[in-house]
This record gives sequence, structure tokens and C-alpha cells, in this order.
Amino acid sequence: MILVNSRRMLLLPFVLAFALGWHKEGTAATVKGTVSLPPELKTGRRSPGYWRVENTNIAVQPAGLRGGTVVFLVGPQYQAVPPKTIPVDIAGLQATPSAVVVSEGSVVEFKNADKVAHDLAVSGQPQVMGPERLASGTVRKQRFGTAGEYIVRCTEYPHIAISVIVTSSPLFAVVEDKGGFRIPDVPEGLATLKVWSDGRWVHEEEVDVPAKGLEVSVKVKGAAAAKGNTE
Amino acid sequence: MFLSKIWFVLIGLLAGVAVTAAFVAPRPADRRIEQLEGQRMDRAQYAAEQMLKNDARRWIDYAAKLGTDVKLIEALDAATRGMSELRPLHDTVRSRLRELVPDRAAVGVESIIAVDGKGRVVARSGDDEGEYGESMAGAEVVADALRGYLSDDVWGAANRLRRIGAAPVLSKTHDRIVGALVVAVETGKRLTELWKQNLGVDVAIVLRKTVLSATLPEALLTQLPDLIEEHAAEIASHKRSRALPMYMGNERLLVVAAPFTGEASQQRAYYVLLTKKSPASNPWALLSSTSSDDLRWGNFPWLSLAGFLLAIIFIGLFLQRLEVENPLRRLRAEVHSLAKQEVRKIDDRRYGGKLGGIARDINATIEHYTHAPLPKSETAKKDISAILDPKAAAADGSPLEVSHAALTKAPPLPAAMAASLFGAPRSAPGLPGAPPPIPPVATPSPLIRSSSLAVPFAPTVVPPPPSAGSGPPPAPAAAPDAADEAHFAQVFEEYRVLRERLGESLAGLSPDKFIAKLRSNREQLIAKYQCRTAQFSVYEKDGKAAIRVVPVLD
Repeated sequence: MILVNSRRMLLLPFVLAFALGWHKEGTAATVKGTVSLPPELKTGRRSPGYWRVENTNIAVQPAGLRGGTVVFLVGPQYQAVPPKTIPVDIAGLQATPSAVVVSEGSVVEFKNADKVAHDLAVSGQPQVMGPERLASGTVRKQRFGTAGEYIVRCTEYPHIAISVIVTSSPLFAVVEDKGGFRIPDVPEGLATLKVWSDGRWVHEEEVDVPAKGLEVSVKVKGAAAAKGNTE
Repeated sequence: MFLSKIWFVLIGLLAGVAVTAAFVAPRPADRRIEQLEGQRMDRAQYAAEQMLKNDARRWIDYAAKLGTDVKLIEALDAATRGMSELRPLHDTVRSRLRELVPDRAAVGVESIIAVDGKGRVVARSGDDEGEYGESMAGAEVVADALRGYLSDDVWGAANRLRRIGAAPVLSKTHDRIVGALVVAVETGKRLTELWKQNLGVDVAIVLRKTVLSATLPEALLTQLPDLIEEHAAEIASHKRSRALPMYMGNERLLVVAAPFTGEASQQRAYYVLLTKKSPASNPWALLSSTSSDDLRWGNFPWLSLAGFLLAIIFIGLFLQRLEVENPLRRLRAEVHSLAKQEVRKIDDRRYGGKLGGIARDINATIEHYTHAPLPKSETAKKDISAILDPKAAAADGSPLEVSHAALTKAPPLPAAMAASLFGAPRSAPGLPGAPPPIPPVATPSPLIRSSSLAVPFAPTVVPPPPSAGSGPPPAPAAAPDAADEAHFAQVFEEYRVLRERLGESLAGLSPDKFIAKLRSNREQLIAKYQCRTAQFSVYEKDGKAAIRVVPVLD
């Protein structure tokens, strides 16, 4: 009896190992966490003037991220996302969302709800999206067929800049106003975590995604590091 | 001549250095001027930047001050809270803005926009006054103001450039933000004229490759947007360009461009300072740009220049006199002395260079003719018939000898050479412009004979006297005149008498035949020596009668 039990005890690690190994191949973890942006990315001003003075009576309110920061995981295998149509509303002289991630071949619909017209184009890449006047109350549909990152900007109001990131990967998440993000169904293993904000890649780090998931705190460095990343 | 040559070489070098300096010397000055002009443009650009910055602060404070108006606060607070219809609030705010800023143009304000706490336009004063209700919350300067910031911006919409100052409007209790005021300031003709007045340079404003406003004719600034675009990267990195040269017609401009701040910086909006560049400093441009004032007695070193030039001229003349004129004068005097036979040769040691060579040549020639051994000339002591017609002479049997001393009718050789070299002496006594004629030799004389023997006859070497040599060639031999015929007869008679005296036979001696022979010899002699006539003389030679002939040149 003792012998039988000891045999079972010997087999148990193999059974567990097999079971865990079989289970590991099919595991999809969740990567979540927070992104801390440096002050220059949280000012709310892309093109500051000479002065920015706080009033002396009321505390200044923090700027919202406006959905312009996105976290990506690059490296793991994924199932390509089919093309779809993504709307971007331009109202109150701002675009919402200001960053969209679409799969290759997707169409972005730019709706102008402002009273003024907007001249939208991808600067420097007219073959991707040439300049065209978007009158008040009209919609412009633009297909993005090639993977890459594009900035759609209004020439009249250049603070209206929409980041269009074309990738078939579903492994991304738009960072919330408070900095939180969550990417589900991430295959276990090594991956590269990249952060897109303010129209450029601002952070990149290697992460090892365990089966139980990963919670990371991403601290984006200041302007110098961001410049290094863009270069 | 050595010093003169050196002097002329030095003058040439000096002139070369002066010309080189005239072309090269302005270049460092040009660079310095360019540098100074560039520094001036730097200072102007810095001053313009400071003025923009000060203006921005001024308009921010202006908006903040407007935002303290109670009526505006109440209306914007009501709009933010949604306590009332927007239309009456719009009317109230617009009227109030008009009251607060009755003459916007006088203060340079194009429009004032009042937004509520949600960023919604409540009213405008100026552009689009009837429009309200739309949101401007996305505009960064408006968003800033609604967060509590006082800030500025530059907008480049609708092909206009406007500087923006925005400030939050606080509630009466100063505990909430109830809206914001945005002041849009003219950034065009008024600004450029003001800057031109204050900075002393021309100003242009460029937005998206279009010159919006300029103190220079915009039609002349067509190259400006392209020039700025070429240096856009430099401007973006340094927040300004260096001083760039640009041509406007025939004028050269120096251009410094700098970007506007705020959103306009992404719209390729630049303010450009321009100044006319100093003309290129080549000598002609420098001369053409001089004024009469530059040549005034006090402004130009006339005395120094005149003294310098006179010194150059005098030194040159002095060296010429020292090395050319004085030796030449001395040589000429010595030649004259030689011509007058006062000296036997020139003291060539006193002369250097080519004059020394000439002196030595003269001496050598004199030496050659006076001291050289007598050459056995073909004509020396030969019967004239042998020279002119040897056969006839043999047949005739009358020995004739040509006397080369006939040429001694020309001046003595050194004198003749001197005369031919230097012309007739002007004031030498006894030499009034031409050698004195030697009396014609009628009869052989010891002097002539010795002279004829001493001076070898070389028609081709010894030229005729200057009067003959410098003039036209002699006329064809004239027919013997009565004097010649008389001379022939006299010669025949002397010849017959001498033969008779010497015991020679007179048989066959016919006067006609003899005179015909003399006539023939005369003509041959004239043809050969280009002389005027021939003088025959009779003398005894080796116990026999002989005839000597002397060519007569003049």
C-alpha cells in the first residue's frame, strides 16, 4: 500500500507538469497598469506661447489626456483584427478621440461638428491623406491601408491632431484620463511594451508576461528620453 | 639704367600692390560690415522677440482686467450654470464688451470672445459678432484659461494672423471659473509699421508661404517665403535664422526670420526682419558711392598724396637724369670732341650699360680704322682700268690708279661716324651741322696720297658723307661738262709731257683716244661709286707715267 502510494507520489509531478504545460500553451493573461507621463506631456499645450501664468485665486485644474495616449504590446502572437470603421468627432475645436488604433484597411470617419471648416491632412504624406476641406457638418472617410503611425492635422487649427496608428494587433489599450490601462488576452511570454503619446512614441520597455497576468507601472521619462525614442 | 629699372620695377610692384589692395582690402571690411549688420539684425530680432513677449503679457493682463467686470462675470456665470437662455446672455455680454472697449481699432484689438465655463462662445465683439453658442473648449489657450491659466497664443486661421491673450473669468466670490475672455490682437500692417518705427528695419510677416504684411512692397518679396522654407529646419531648431542674404531687384537684403510662438509655429508663421545690405565694396562701387565731401581738403590727405606722387616722379626723373641723360650728354660731348679730333677716343670707362657699350663700339671702330694693319684691298694701288675694266687697261697700257682718298672729301672717319650716329653737332666750333668740305684734290698731294694709302677704300663699309647718305640717291652720271673736258685735256697734256720727260714712247698716244678713255673711266667710276665726277691726276710710278683717279662726291 505504501509502495503504491509512493509510486503515485512519483507520478504526481509528471502529471502536474504535463497538466500545467498543456495549460500554459493556451493561457491568455491580462497586462494592466498605469502610465505616468512627464509634465511636458501633461500640460495640455502642444504649442505654448510666451506666458502661462496661474491665476492667484483658484488652483489650476489638471489637463485631461483626451485619449491621446495608447499602450501597445509588440512581439506576442495575435490574431489579426479585421478592418472596421472608426469615427472621430471634431467638435469644440478638438478631436475625440485624439488617437485611434485601427487595423490595416480600416476606414476612419472624420465628422466635423464645428461651425468652422477644417482642412485635414496627414502632413508630409499626401499619398496617405491629402489636404481636403471638411466643411461644417460633413464627414470625410479615409481608408488607411498600410501599417504605420499617422498624424492627421488641421492646417487652420493645428492643435487638432489625431493620431492614427494602423496595426492589425489587438494588443493595445487607450490610457484613461487617470493613466490606467488594461490589455486583455495577452499570450504569456516576452513582449515589448510601447507607449504612444502626444503624437510620438514616448516609452518602450521589455516585459515578461506571466500566465497569471502582469501589472506594470510605466513611468515615461522626460523630454530627453522621449527625443531619444523618436530618434 | 640699373637704378631706373629698379625704380620702375618698384613702381610697378607698388601699383600692383595698390590695385590688389584696392580689390582685396574692402573684403575684410565687407565681412566686418556684414558681421555688424548681422549683429544689428540679431539685436533687432531680440528686440522684436521681447516686444512680442511684452505684448503677449500686456494682452493677457488686458483680458484678465476685462474679466473682472461684474456684468460679464454675472452673465458668464449664468451661462455656465445654464440658468438662462443663451440669447439674452449673448446680447448682454456683447453690449458690455462694446461698452468696455468702444474703439477696438484704436487699441489694436480685432476681436474679443467671451466663453462660459464649458468653453461655449457666449458673445463676440469684432469678428462674427452674430455668431455664438459654438464651443471653443478645444482651443488650447481657451482650455488653459478654463483650467485657471492666463496664457497667450498666436492663431493663423483664415489667412490671418492674430495674437491671442486669454484669461479666466472668476466668479464674484473668486471660487469658481465661470468662463474666459479671449482677446485677438491685430498682427499685420499695424505691427509691422510699429516695429519698423521702433527697430529701424523693415518687417514682413509670412504665413504658410504667403507674405501677409510687409513694410516693403510685397511684390518685391516673392523670394522671401521660399528662402524661409529653405531654412525652416534651422529656424525651428534655433528659434531664428542667421542673417540670410536675399536679392530684391538690384538691392541686397539681409533677412532674419523667426517663428511666432503658439499654434502659429506649426503653421509656418514667421516674422521677418529685413535690412538693406551695404553695396559690394569693389573699387568701382566704392568710387561711385563717394561724395564730394569725401574729397574735401580736410577729409582727404591731398598733401600727402601729392607729396607721394611728386616724390615718385622726382625720384624717377632724377634716376633718369643720373643714369641716362647725364651719361648721354657726356657721351655726346665726347663724340663731338672726337669729331673735332680733340680726343683720340672716348673714355668708355665712364659709361655703364648700353652707353658704355656704344662708347666701346665707337672706340673699337676708331681703333679698327686707325690702328689696324692695312688690309690688302683688292683695289689698293691697282690701276683704275683694272678695277673698272681690266681688259681695256691692258690694251691701253696707261696705268690708272684710283685714289680712295677721294672719300676723304667726306669728314674724317671718327667725325663721320659720330655724325652718322649722333647727328651733326649743334654748337661745336668748326662743325656747323655738316663736316667741312675738303677742297677738291686737283693734284696729288702728299697728304692725299698718304691719306689714300692710309685709309683703305671700302665702298660698302664706309658710307658717303651724311649729306649724301641721308639724302636721295645721286642722279645718273652727268655728261662731262666743259670743265671736265678741259680737265681731260689738261690730264692728257700732263701725261704726254711726263711720258716725254721719262723717255717713254709717244707713239699711238692720241688725245682723242686718251680723252675718250678718261671719259669712259669717269662714267664707269661714277656708276660704280655714285660720285659726282672723277678727278684725274698724273704722276710718276716706277719710272713710268701713271694716272691716278679720285672720285669726287660733291
